[in-house]
Parts: sequence; C-alpha cells; structure tokens
Amino acid sequence: MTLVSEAPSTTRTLSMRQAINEALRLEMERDATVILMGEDVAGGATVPGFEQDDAWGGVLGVTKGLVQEFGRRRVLDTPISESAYIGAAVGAAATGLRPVAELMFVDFFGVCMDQIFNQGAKLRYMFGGKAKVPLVIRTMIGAGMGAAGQHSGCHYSVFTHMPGLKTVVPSTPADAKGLLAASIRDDDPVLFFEHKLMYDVTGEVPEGECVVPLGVADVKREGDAATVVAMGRMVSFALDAAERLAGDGVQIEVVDPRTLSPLDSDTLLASVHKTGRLVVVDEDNPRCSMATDIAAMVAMQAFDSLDAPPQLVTAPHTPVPFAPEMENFYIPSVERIVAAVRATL
Amino acid sequence: MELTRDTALWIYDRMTMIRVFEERVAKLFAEGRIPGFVHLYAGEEAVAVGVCANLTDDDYITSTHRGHGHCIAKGVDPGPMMAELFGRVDGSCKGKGGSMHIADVSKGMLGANGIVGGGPPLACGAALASQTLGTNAVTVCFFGDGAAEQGTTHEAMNIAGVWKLPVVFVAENNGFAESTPVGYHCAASTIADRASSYAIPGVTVDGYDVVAVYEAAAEAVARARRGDGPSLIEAKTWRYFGHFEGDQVTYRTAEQSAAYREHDPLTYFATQAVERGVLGRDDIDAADRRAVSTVDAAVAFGEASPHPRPEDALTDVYVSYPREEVRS
Amino acid sequence: MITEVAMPKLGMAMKTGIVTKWRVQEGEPVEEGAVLLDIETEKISAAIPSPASGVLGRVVADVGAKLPVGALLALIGDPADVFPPKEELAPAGVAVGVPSAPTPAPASAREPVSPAAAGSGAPVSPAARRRAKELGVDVTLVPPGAPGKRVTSDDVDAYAAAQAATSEGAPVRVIPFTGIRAAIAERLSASLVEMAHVTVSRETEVRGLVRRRSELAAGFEAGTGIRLTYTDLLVSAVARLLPDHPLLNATLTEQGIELLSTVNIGIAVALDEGLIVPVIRDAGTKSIGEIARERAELAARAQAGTLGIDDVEGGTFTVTNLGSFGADSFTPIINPPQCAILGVGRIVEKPIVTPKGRVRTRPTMWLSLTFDHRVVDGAPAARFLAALSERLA
Repeated sequence: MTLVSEAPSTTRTLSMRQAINEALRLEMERDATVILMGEDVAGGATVPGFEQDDAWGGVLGVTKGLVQEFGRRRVLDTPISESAYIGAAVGAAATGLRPVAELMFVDFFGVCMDQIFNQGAKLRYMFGGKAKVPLVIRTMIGAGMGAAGQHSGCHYSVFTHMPGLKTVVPSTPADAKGLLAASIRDDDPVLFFEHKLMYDVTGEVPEGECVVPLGVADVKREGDAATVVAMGRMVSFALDAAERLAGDGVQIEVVDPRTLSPLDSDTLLASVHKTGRLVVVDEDNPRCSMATDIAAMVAMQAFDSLDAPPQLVTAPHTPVPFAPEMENFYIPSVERIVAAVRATL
Repeated sequence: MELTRDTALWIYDRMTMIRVFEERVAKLFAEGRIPGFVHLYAGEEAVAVGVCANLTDDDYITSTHRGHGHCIAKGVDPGPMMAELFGRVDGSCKGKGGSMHIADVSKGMLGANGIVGGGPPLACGAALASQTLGTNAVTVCFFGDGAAEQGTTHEAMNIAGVWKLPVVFVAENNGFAESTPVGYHCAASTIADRASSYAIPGVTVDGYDVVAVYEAAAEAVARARRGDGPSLIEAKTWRYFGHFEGDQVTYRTAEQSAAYREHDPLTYFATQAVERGVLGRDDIDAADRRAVSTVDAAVAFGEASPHPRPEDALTDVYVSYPREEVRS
Repeated sequence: MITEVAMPKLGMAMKTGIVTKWRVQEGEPVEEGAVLLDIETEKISAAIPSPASGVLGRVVADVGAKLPVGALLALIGDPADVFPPKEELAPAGVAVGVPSAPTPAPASAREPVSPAAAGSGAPVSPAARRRAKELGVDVTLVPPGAPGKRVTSDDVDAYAAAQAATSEGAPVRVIPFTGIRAAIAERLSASLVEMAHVTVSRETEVRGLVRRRSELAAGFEAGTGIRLTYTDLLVSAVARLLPDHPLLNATLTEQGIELLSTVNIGIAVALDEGLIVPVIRDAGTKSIGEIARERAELAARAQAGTLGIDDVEGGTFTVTNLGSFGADSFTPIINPPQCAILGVGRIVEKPIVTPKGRVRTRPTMWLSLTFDHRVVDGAPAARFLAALSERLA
C-alpha cells in the first residue's frame, strides 16, 4: 500500500477489497455478535496447518486475514449449501447474532431464494414487528471477467423488488467501507452487492470507524446539462462520459444512489429538477429494473421538469455471454452513455 | 413410567389444551369466523408436547404450517394465538401473520412457516447463535414427512452435523404429504434412516405415545446441550383433520381414521397415568375443564380485540425505512 | 353515405378560415345541426353546425390549419363506412401563428393533433410547458433550438429573454398573433400596400352637434335606457351626406369604380382582442334613435363575442371615433374594400375668432378623412369635410 503524502492524515489509499476487509474487521472488533459465514470465507477448514489461518480468505481474497484475528468460530466456512447457511444466517440474526453471510456470486440466489425472500425478508412483517433480522448478505456481481451466464449477473433489481430487504451497491472504496459498516449495524436484512471487477479499484478511504448511512445518494460530479444516475461500476463509466462531454462544454451531473432500497429519491429528483434530463446507467438487465424504476419515479414526480424523455443505458435482455466480444457488447459502454446524454440535449 | 406428577400433569394439560383449541378452531372456521385457511394439529399432540416437555423458554423451536400445537406446547398464550387467527391487533403477530406464521419469539417460538422445508435452515441459525453466544440453549426443528424430501432439510441436517449444532430435528410423520402417502414420496423405508447420511443419531418412535416421544426427545436434547450435536427423531403419528380445513380427505379410509381414534394419544396417556397412579381421574377432568375455559377465554379475547386499521399494513416491514417508500 | 364537411363561406369577403376547435372528436357521433367545429375567419369566430347526422369518421383538418373556402375538413358517415386515411384526404392548408418562422410550415397530416403542436409543430417538453406557464409565454410561439428538435425549457427561457430585450425590460407577455389580431394586421397592411392613402383634416366647430345631442340625449336615454353618443349623431350626419359625395361611398373592383347605392356605415369598436367593425345598414334612411339603438346592440354583441358574419360584412364607409380616448386627431386606415374612412377626435372648448372679429369659446373637433386617391381626389374629399363641418357647426 502506498501512502500518498498529500492526502489528509485521516485517509489513505485503499483498494475496494481492502476497504471491505477493513470494515468487516472493525465491525467484528466492535461487536462480538458479528460473524462471517460462507463458502471458503477462510478456506481450508480442518486442514492441518489451517486451524487459525485461511487457505483462501474468500474466493477473491476479500475476507483474507480475518480468521487469524477472530478464529474459526466467527469466520465460518460452510458446505456448498446456500439454502442451509443463508437460512441459518437468517435464523441466527433472529436470535441474537449479526451474521455477515457471503453468497459467492449473486447468480446463486436461485438455490437459496426461499431463505432470503420468504424467510429473511418477510419474517419481521409476518411476526408483526416482534422480531428483527440484522443480517448482511455480501455477494459478487458484474460482467467483464469471462465468467459467463451463471457467475456474471447483477440482479440487484430482483432484491430491491422485495419488501423487507435493503440493497446496497457501492461504487468507491470509501463508500464500500462506510456502507458495509452501516449495513452490519442496521437491524434489517441488507443485500450488499460488490462488483468483482472493482476489488482492485483504489481510492481515498477514511481511517478508523466510518459509517455512510443507508438511503443517502451521493452526487459524484455536479453539472447542469443532464442528470446521469449510475450505480456500482457504472458510476466510473458515467464519470468517464462526463469528462468526454465536458470537452464539448456539456457538464453532466452524476448521481450515485448507493442504496437502491431505500432509494434517496429526493436527491435524484432535485438533480432532475435542476437539469431537466435523465439518463440511468445500469449494468443489470433492463426489464423491471432499477433503471425502469428510477425512470418511472422521475416521470411521475418530476414530469414538469423534464425537457426530454428519460434515456436508459442498460445491459440487454439476455444472460451474460462468454466470448469477450459479446461480453463487451453486453456491458454498457462510455460511448453509449455519451450518446444517451446527447439524445436528451 | 418414569414421569413425575408435575411433568405428567403438564403433559396432559398441554395435550388437552391443543385438542380443545384445534377442535374449536375447526368449528370457528366452519362458521366463517376465521379468514384464510388453517391446518389443524389434532391427533399429533403427543409429538409437540412430548418434545417440548424437555425444553425451557430459553430454547427455540421452528415449526410448520401446522403450528398451533407447537405454539401451545412451547408456552405461547392461546389468547393472542386466537386473536391472530381472527386477524386482530392483539394477535401474536398483530394480525399480519395468521395461522401459518403464528410466532412468539419471546417464548422461543420462531414461527409457523408457510414453506414446507422453510424451517430447518432457520433452526440451524438459532442453534448457531446459541453455540456462538454460549447460551446452552437447544433448538428443536419440527418438520413434516413432506418436508423430509426438501433439499433444505437435508442441507440443514448436514450443516448441523458439520457444525455439531445443538439442534433436534423432529420429523412428524403423519403418513401424508398433503394427499400423497409417505410410502410414495419417501424413497427410504423410514425418515430416521436419513440420519446415517449425516452421522447423527436417528430413531423412529410411536408418535401416539407421548411418553415414548418424551423419552426419545430427552436423550436428543441432552445430547445437544452437551455439545455433541444434532439428532433426528421420527415420530409416527396421524392427523385427525384433513391437510387443511375443507380437505375432504378422500385419500384415507374411514376405517383407518377410526382405528387411530381408538388409540387416541390423550385417552391413552390419561388411562396409563391414572392406572399407574401418577395422576388421578380428577386431575384429568380438571385439566379438561381448564382447557375448555382457557380456550373460551381465548376466543373471547380474540373477538374482543379490535380489527387493525387498513394502513397498519404499512408498518413492521423494516426496523427503519422511509415510510413514503413503503407506501408507494 | 359519406358526407364531406367543407370550409364554409361565411361572408362575401371570406377567402380562408382557420380551424380553432373540433367540438366532436373523430369517432364520436354527431347530429345534423349540432355544433361540429369552430373556425375563425379574418373577421369573426363562428361555430359551424354539422351538415349531417352520423359519426365523425375522419378529421382531415387539424386544429390550427388555415384553409381556403371549400377545403375538405372532415367526413361524416355511418359507423360501418370505410373512411380513407387522413393522409389521402389532407387539405393543403398552412399552419398559422408563427410570425417568427421564416416561412409558414405546411400543415402536415402526420403531425399530432395537439394544441401545443398547432403552433411551431415541434413537440414541447413538459418542462418547457411549465416554464412557459411561469413566464406567461405562449409556448406555441417558441421555436425549438434546431429544426426537428423538441421545444425545451431552455428554448422558452431564450425566447422570453429575447422578448424582454426587444421590449427593453418591460414585463414579458406574448399576445398570440392569431384570430382578430392577425386579421387586422393582414387587412390593414394590405390596405396600405394596395391603396393610395391620403388624409385631409380640419378642425371644426361642433356647436350644433353638441347642442343637438344635449337636446335629444336626456329624453332618448330616459325612454330607451340607451346612451346617445356623438358617434351616433356623426354616423347619421355622414350617412345623410354621403349620397351627395358618391366617390367616397364606392369600391374599386376589376370592373372599375363601383358607386354603391346603399350607405352602410361601419363603426369601429375597440375590444380587448382588437378592433371589430360592425355595420349599420342603410344608415342614411334611419333615424338617430334607430342608429343609436342598433349601434348599442352591435357594440354589446361585439363585447359578448356573438356578432354574426353578416353584422360585420358589407360596410361602404367607416367612422372611427377616438375622441372618447382623448385623441385630438389621427390618420385612420381604410377598411378595404371601402375607399374612405372618417376619423373623429375629441371635443374641446377653444377660443375662436368669430366672423365679426370677436373671440368666443366654442366646442371644436378634428375631423380626418382618409381616402383612396386612386378613386377620389383631394378636392372632393375636402368638400365632403366642409359639408360635414357645416352640419356640425
């Protein structure tokens, strides 16, 4: 890790992976009821020599080093039984723990959806508010790694649809750290979506405990020509598009909702009231998605501020393809964002 | 019989309360006074009561869609239960759950469950919490013979075996998954046989004999409390009513049902207890009267409780959330 | 059977009409005689009755289309009838109301029939509509930033700023340049272009006029409740004089100068929407009371917007009185196809040197007669003024 001398002493440059790891470590130090569980979150369980060490520390190393500090009672490798351990995380959350379960790839929700959707999400409501489920499910999203149809989706729209769940999609290391801390401390079940291509993205991250509250969007760049709402990896794409457009004198505003449920519609609407134009950039599939949800919300609540129909830049309505040419085609591009902005002007 | 008088009295008290409660619910449902639909536990009382006689309020249970008996056996107050069935604000779940989600976390009752096989992973979670927090509590996972064929049940028994969780899986084998007989839907000869796959003890007991259930559960609960891990108990039983109220039960014969009624678990236990001098006939009569008056009071409580306001539907989704977003 | 609805001819001079509103929507039933649509001519707005019963099978003319008399507007028939698509029937009209556009855009049959599209034809964004409302701008007048683009709130702002700049910071309000206003503009600029306007003026004593009104007014008003105005007396005087000055009661046609047998005096009436000139027919044969009554009724109907086409057609000479607005004199413009118009100023008491060399105060008034020099020369015009002055002195 390189310390940047110009940076304020309270921050330093971390990768997204390091920022998430740091948030987990700080929250586990802070609260003994926080446990990690998931496939290979440590790895090498019961293998001689790995009693207090990790073989993997997560399939992409995000939880590396935590088992050394907190032991295997709090960093639990699981069988490949998503229903059992996600359900156990729900049950444990309802009875006194704050589990952080890792669903390795979001695409695996198909094998454990009942435990998330029918149990975790609905339990508090069905019990008349007499229980709470302070659970975090971390999961990897995103195309661009050649991982094809069952390891590359985003699917956060699916979970945002479900009452009882909160959904978080960080776009920077600092946001990831602060939002994960807030998610762990939250008393409701939170789905935390980490883009697998962003683990090595670096940025300034505050030292020590920091919390970014859920339900507060962030304006990543100010402008008045058009509002570009982007989430996750698409935020950096939108910022690249902003640079290109700025070369032509077009200053767009890039708004990152950061949490999709709850959604900070006030910040989104305020921006649209200012610019009169909306482009939503979403790597998820297009139907019944965050993109359509935000566009509908703006059409209903900011109709009289719109100077152009909202534009959506999304993945196509297909699974994620394997071959790089097709996968690149699938992922929204900076060029498409620029074109969509221009179409609103 | 090794039971103390107190235990025997508690067991009969709970069994007869479940029976009276369920028969009253059947009547109220037929009269159209309960919305939705209900699955009744009558006939299976010995299973819930025999198991729960080994538990305290600190222990947990997960339940099934047929959950009223589990609730009463675990000590949930019949008044709020009945109010919940009526959909009233004083219900256990403030009218938001109904029969299939009736719950009382303060009594360790983690909810009836509308999903067959929904409970076993949750039971592992409660057991994991007890294990992690070192509370010595045990979790009992009730599930039916239908749920025995769900992947979640197998995954849960495996993970409980891996983690040596303090959980007791209790398969209530009433012979039918809805209308499909266990001989058809279960490839193994008994559900208890499955235990060997997870290297945990598995026994089959007569679910009509509350003492047999009590003794098997005592051993499994003790094992769990010791930290030796999970067990599986298969209790063979019979439901007096259909799968749900309104089920014409065309898949069972009148002779079969009559034969089970002959060996009614309440009558059997009462007779045995009186014959052996553990309880007197007057104890039995008093318990029966107490059950009726308790259920009468529960119905009165439920009917007196106010209906919820329609907009009460908007609360209790989250601990914290912008209300406007729940509304829209 | 399919009945064609054509642009009606509502008066002798009507050449074109603008569709302002369809009272019945395409596909709806309509009864013969029930109001089908509103049109606006240069002179008048009119509700047009349906010529047949049935359903309005096809609307061919969009709102805003300016079409010649006889142009196809719509088809009425049975619900079972097959109505050809609009594209095959569309009349060659022009959209109106875009004075800023370099050339009027043809009314394309493919354009959506929406009030907002009636003006520039460009779609208008929701924000632009809201902004226009806030600024009091008629959004249909706002051109888009580029051809084919949507009118945006920025375009509205730019338009409003340009308007404000031209009026040097005066409050911005854009009056739609349609209907009566546009008709006035077209007719009067045509008048100036086609005719050879000359105005002769004289200040004249009007002691007789004032005396005559004071003699008549009280009784007339008591009897009828109608105010007797100087205009009524002037109209009467002019109408009685005109037969002696036939060249001022004439019209120039391809055949030549037609001297008209009747004297129909138009009276200019100021409305909020603009000027309208109802006509008192055969004014020379009517008493002052009759004229007053008719003038009062026409003025009231003009204010109410219920003048018929016949009320404003057929004038042969016009009197316009700005005296009540405090004007002394002005040069009126002839209302074609007439060839003269009399402008009347206010009555002022002034010192006058009498023929006997004494100075007396007398009521005076400026009379300005504009005439078409192609038809009549200065001397006859001046003689008419002199004769009128005598009558008023």
